[in-house]
Amino acid sequence: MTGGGVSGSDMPSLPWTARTDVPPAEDTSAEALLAGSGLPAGAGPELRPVADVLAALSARPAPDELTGLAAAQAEFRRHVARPAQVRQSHRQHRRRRGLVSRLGVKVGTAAALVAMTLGGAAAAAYAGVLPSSWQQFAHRTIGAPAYRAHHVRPAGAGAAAPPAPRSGHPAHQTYRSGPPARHRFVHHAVLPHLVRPPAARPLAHHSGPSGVRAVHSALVRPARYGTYRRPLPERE
Amino acid sequence: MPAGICPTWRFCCGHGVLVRILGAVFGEEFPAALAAAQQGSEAAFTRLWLDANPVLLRYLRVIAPEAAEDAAADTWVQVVRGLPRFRGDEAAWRAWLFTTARRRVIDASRRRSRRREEPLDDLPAAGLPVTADAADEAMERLGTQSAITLLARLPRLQAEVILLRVVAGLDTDSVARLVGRSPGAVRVAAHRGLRRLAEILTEAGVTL
Repeated sequence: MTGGGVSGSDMPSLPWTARTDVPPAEDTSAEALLAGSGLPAGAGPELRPVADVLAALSARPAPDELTGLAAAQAEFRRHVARPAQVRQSHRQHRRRRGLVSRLGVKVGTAAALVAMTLGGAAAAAYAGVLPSSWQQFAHRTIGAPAYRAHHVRPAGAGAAAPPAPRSGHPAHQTYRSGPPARHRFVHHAVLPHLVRPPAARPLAHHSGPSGVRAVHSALVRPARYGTYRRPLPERE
Repeated sequence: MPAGICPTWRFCCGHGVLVRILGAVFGEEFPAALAAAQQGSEAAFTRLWLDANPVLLRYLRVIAPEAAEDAAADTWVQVVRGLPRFRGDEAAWRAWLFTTARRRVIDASRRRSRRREEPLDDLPAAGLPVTADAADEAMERLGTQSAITLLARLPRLQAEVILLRVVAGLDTDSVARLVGRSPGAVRVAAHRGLRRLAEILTEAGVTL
């Protein structure tokens, strides 16, 4: 039975007609010619002219076969060569732009840090809270106040008691409402190194509330920054 | 130069004349040349063009004799545009080139049929007026043009297959994919074409 359900005896008997024009598969001569390997030794003489024709088809280029080179090169320059250069230029531009961007960020950060440091230093210099050498330097360069060792007169030296400060600073509150022992703790016991002779204490000679505030701020703040100085001997 | 040393030069026509055999010009240098051309080297592209364009023109002069140069130019435009994306060896390069050329010819033929413009010399390849004198001239001086004229007397598929096998250097499977036939059909067409060519030459009384 065949695949279609028909027995073999029912199939028509078709005689096989030989195709004389179809070469056999073992025609190695023609296959060798087609493969470009030349005519084999045992090839028939009728194939010699065919081999020559095929060889002529593969001959060196004639001048008229090379006339389109300029147009092809122009097309190549337009679509391949120039876009390649443009791509390379774009890559370099992006690389350069990225470098500039990274440098800009770094420079900007550094500039901001420098500005903040200088601004803080200038503010500190004008507030007079820098160490002595730095304060003197700021005094010479930017006109900040000169370094002064702040202090108050010792108690009982004849100076009038300063009026109560107006600010709400805790130290001031303590000064205003605390006991005398606390007052002495703030002005004499804790800061004995700031005691100076009256000639060296110009702030103490200021009269009025502003002078008092300056004295108090100088007493409270420089306690952390002031260098230790030995207390002056008591005068007899 | 001995014929066995350089694969691109062989003896021709039984006269000991060295001719350049097209189809495997680059060999091992092809990947480097292709890569350079893809990166924008005009010199490398020129090498590719010089290697392939004569073969391409001979193929087109057989399958589209009325517009071979235009079809070749269109083919190179397409090839140049697709060159940066091409991947493959020299055989793949040639297969791509001739596939593009064949499609250009088919497109041009469709355009002409739509426009109903028939140039006076637009005759089918197999119907080109080839006189007996042409065959004699081809045998006297087997120039390339004469060989192309002789090959154009074959049916188109046979001529095309022979050209792609011999001139372009493609194998049977590549030619089968290119022309859209089975490898067996391609093999049969090639053998029939050679046999027919031998008959034409015999009819012309050519004996070597």
